[in-house]
Amino acid sequence: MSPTVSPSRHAEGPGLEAFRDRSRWLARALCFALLPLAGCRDDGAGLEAGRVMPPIAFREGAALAGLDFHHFNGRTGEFHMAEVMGAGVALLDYDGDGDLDIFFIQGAMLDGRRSVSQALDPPRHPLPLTDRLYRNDTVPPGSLHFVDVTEEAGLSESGYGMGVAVGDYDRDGRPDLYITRLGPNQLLRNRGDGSFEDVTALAGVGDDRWNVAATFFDYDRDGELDLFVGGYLQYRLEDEPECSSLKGRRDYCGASHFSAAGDRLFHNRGDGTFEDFSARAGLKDGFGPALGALATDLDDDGWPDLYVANDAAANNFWHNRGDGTFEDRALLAGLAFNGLGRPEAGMGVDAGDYDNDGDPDLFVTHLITETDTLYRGEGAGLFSDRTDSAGLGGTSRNRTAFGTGWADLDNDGWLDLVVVAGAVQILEPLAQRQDPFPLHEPNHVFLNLPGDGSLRRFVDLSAGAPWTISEVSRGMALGDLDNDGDLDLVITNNGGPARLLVNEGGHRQPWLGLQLSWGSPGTTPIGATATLRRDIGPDLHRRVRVDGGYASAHDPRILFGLGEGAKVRSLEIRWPDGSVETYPPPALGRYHEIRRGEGQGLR
Amino acid sequence: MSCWMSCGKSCGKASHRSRPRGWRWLALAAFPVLAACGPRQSPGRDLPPVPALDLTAAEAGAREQLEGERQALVMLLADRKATAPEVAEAFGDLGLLYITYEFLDAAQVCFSNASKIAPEDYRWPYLGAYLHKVRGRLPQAVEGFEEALRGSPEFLPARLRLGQIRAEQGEATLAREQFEKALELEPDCAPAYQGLGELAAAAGDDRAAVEAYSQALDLDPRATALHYLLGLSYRNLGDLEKAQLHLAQRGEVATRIPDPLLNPLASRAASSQFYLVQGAEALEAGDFSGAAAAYRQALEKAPQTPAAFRGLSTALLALGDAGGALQALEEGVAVCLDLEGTPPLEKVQLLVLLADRLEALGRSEEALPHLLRTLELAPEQPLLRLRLANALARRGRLEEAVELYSQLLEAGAQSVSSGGGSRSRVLEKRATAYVNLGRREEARADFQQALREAPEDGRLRLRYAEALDFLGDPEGAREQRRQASAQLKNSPQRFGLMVDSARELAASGDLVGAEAKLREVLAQAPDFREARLGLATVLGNGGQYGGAAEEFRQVLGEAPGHVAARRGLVEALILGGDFLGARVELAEAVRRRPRDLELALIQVRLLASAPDPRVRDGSLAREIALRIVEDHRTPETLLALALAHAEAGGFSESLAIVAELLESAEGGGDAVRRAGLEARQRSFEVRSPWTAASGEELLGL
Repeated sequence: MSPTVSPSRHAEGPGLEAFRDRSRWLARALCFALLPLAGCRDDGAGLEAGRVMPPIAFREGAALAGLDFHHFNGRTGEFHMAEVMGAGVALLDYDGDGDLDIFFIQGAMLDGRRSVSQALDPPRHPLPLTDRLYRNDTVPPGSLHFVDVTEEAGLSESGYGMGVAVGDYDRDGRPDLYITRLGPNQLLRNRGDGSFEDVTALAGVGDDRWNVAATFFDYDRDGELDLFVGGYLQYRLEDEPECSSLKGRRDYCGASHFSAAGDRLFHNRGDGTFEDFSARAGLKDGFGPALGALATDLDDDGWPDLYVANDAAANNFWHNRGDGTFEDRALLAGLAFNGLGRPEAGMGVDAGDYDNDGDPDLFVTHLITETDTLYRGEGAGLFSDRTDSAGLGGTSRNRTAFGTGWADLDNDGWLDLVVVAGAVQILEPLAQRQDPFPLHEPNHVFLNLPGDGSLRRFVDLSAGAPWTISEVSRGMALGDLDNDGDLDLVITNNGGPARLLVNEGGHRQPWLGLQLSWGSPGTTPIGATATLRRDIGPDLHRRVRVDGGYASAHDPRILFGLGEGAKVRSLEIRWPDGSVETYPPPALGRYHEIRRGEGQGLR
Repeated sequence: MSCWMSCGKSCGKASHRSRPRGWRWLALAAFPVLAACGPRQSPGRDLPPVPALDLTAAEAGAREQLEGERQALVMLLADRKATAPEVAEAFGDLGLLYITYEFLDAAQVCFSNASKIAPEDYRWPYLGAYLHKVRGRLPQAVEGFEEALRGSPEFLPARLRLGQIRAEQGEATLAREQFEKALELEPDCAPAYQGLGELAAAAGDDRAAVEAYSQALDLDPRATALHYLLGLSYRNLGDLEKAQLHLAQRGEVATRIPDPLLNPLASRAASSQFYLVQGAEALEAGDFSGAAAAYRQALEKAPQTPAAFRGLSTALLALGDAGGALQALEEGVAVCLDLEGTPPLEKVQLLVLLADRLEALGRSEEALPHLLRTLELAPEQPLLRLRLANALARRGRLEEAVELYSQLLEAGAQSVSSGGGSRSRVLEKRATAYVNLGRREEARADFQQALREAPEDGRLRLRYAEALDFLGDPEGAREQRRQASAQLKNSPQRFGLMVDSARELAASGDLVGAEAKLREVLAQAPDFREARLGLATVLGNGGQYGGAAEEFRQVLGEAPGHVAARRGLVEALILGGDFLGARVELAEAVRRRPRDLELALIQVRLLASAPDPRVRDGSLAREIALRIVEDHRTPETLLALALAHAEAGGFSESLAIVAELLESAEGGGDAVRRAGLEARQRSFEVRSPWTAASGEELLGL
């Protein structure tokens, strides 16, 4: 339970020390924003070889690294809603060589009666179009280098892709892929020889509706990863109405023109097959059009819950009762609507402890005119909308955001925030300028400013390159692609090129990385949490999270930024089965494999 | 005094806008003369130009309106005699029109120019600031609102919006200052109380928040969104009962900032598209009256818009006006069907909706021609062919139905499945038609083919067994049943058959037998919801209300959105005398179905006349009843309102309603009804609210 701020404490204001701290960080943030113009200088850790370094600095490097993925949306000028909703991206070490590879989801022609030549934007990859896999061939400490291995991985034509979830469903130590589509989803089993095989039918996880979100998690704590698949809309091209903007311009329809498709929960039998447990688990009613989903223990009872961000409908907080059933507690938890009680168009979602008070906080991205919403965890599964007081409300009303993620980008021990954006209906100012695809918007990064836990605020650092790039962004995955100790970003753009944003500054602060594994062969314990105790500052809580964001999958490893001068006192891991182990302080500046059973005091 | 009145007082400059609108055209006509009159320049000459908009996609009405207003401004700018306030006014007018159509960039330029020309007029910085706020540019918005307030410190909307922004910026002290000043100007200003409540909640002072939100709700009871805020604050205070009660009443109507400049904007739009979007949004928000009004406006602007007819019909149906809903569709078909340029799919949607409504009213013969017409418009749509075939079969026009089924089957599997059906299902439909036509061999062949294509479909096999019985082949039927039984073992279909049988037992009065059968199903399939609902109903009908409530609760535990279960639970609780529990469940039921008239009426009766005084709440009952009567003025709703008035102490209103009801019942043969009304009249005459004698009376049983 986080401490509440009493009125008297509030009236006194922050102490002198906190004020000093805050003013220093504000100055640095401002400096970054003005960097190209003013040549600001900073007397802190930001100085390097006479150059002023902002607290968070990224460089766009997709082309340089050989990432030439270009999303194809198949639009033909008929404004089919589905063509602007994809697609996601996954980071996974598919070949087990210790670095992250990248799997991109591809689109197709939506209307089977039309040929690719009728698309407004021609495809940039050979036909037939398929999802693409890029192997990370970086040789440290060299620059990032990726090689397209789609063909040798056996990936073939597969339909109109939306999102992807990663999880080792068969516990063979190799991450598998579940791909959501407008049409049949696919489960691709990682054979371990660099290729994948389609085992959808065999595993019984087929779903031919419109799905975007999916997440692997072990809801019954039996050691087998189960699978949640969010259903978006009951959508058929033939039934799609013609929609127009207020100005009479032909435009994409919104979700309200369709009914929700309904979510599914597949229980892993442990023999490579799944069973549809949606009804038994209580997920057959009360669902909305799901676009974002994540699984984590939101109420600290030891069981992973589900949070589903729904488009223009109440969100679901499926509380895991621990008996194989779920109950929607979103309303009382304060998670169904925004702080004013209004449903918003939920897109992406992530959970992380931004105020380091030990409970998860949620961030959900939304449509233009709505705020992206920060739900601060108050403990015991209750949340409050703190968007405005955290400084995240203002500008978010002016964009439509999709992918998002909590990430300590500057390794100061506090989670920052990334938000990628792109409209779903025509932006009139762009249309007025005859823009050929008038949905693009810039992406944003927000720095978590130090302050009292409950009064923390964020500042938008999205000035200058690469944040001035304006594209129709959808998916975003966070991961340390170059294993240098800070989080890089991969962003997908609808009808555009993928972007690789290389973090150029985070690793300067002390860090340590953890690769958790359990079982034999070692597999990633999705949902495990790590608590790092430091000699100064609050404890840091991070979870093994692959899901969240929008249609994407993140680096499964945990990366702790410690902040300047901090030392580690101890490390505690809570495994998905509820057991807890303590480990001696790991050395800083590198990744460590932490195996279950090798710590102390397993309980 | 309302908040609105205060704004009216403080908006003196809005009278600038009362000048006759024709004056600009006068200026336009006089332009060549005026231009030659002297060297003086128009005040707007050196300002940034208002961007010319690409209006090619806009409707003719909207285009004309926007271009006309812009052209008028251009002419005024060329008019050397135009005064600064006149030019500023013209910029402002155009800016407001641009806001209406959401050309926000252009609107921003207009207000900025107006501000520069007439810096003393608070309206232009205010409107500019409003746009900055909408677009998330908070520092600029603050600057604009502050400037507006320097010009007119009593302009309440600027103060409220500035307070909201300060709160968004985390500047609680500055925000509070604005809300408190707003309350000094207008003590009954609900948005100001809401703002103060939000500030208190953000600071963790939920007790103060509850106080402020409650004040706001008292001032503006229609602002149902306040219930959500109250609910969460009570939750934070640990009062879960009150939290649940308020959360259950949550709606989406917010306190409204009374804004004489921005609120009238919608009425300026000349485009039907504008109202279509408004209508859709209102439908989405459950505001059916608002939706109907918007669609009517859309039809006024463009009388040949199929989507507007469809929307109007949907809104009217939701309001309970089935006749109006049908009439809207019939008018739509009459107006739009022969129009060139209307996409066929739009016409088809109109026809299908009309056919559906006619069928729902039992007028399926009239529906058929409309379905036939859909096929003419979209012959390639298999789903339409299937609908028509099914409708024909239902009407006994079996030969025609068979022909359409055959066409579908000949068109191939892909055609059938793309229409949302399956080939085996179409074969089954045709086979059924053959059975009814007595064409035995063809029926048998179709069933067999269907079973070859869907061999695991136990339901289909059972259907075949029924057909074989009908065709005089009991042995064949037995064999099919045996196979079906094996296929359906522990399947929902088999349990479904058992539930059907229990239903028949219950209908024949054998409640014990029905209960036993349903318990048998539940022993094997505890999750089989239909059986649990059936059991709850059987128990309730047998007077075992506690047991019934328990079963309904189990269903709701798995499916909180199950409407019938929620209603059943409410009824079981009321009949069992647990009125407190019923109030909580009812609030939840109403939250989930805010437009369900029956639920709302039960809620009013419960709040106004429950035998348990702890449950009663006259002011809430009256508030709900007034809302109901606004949309549905029937004897039943009026009587509920009378009960509510009485519970709230408004006996004269109650008596007036009862007198009206007695008058209209005059001469009618329903003596029981009259006696009931008279009993209530007597009670109200002695200023005593009515108390229902039992749960049955409360439910109107």
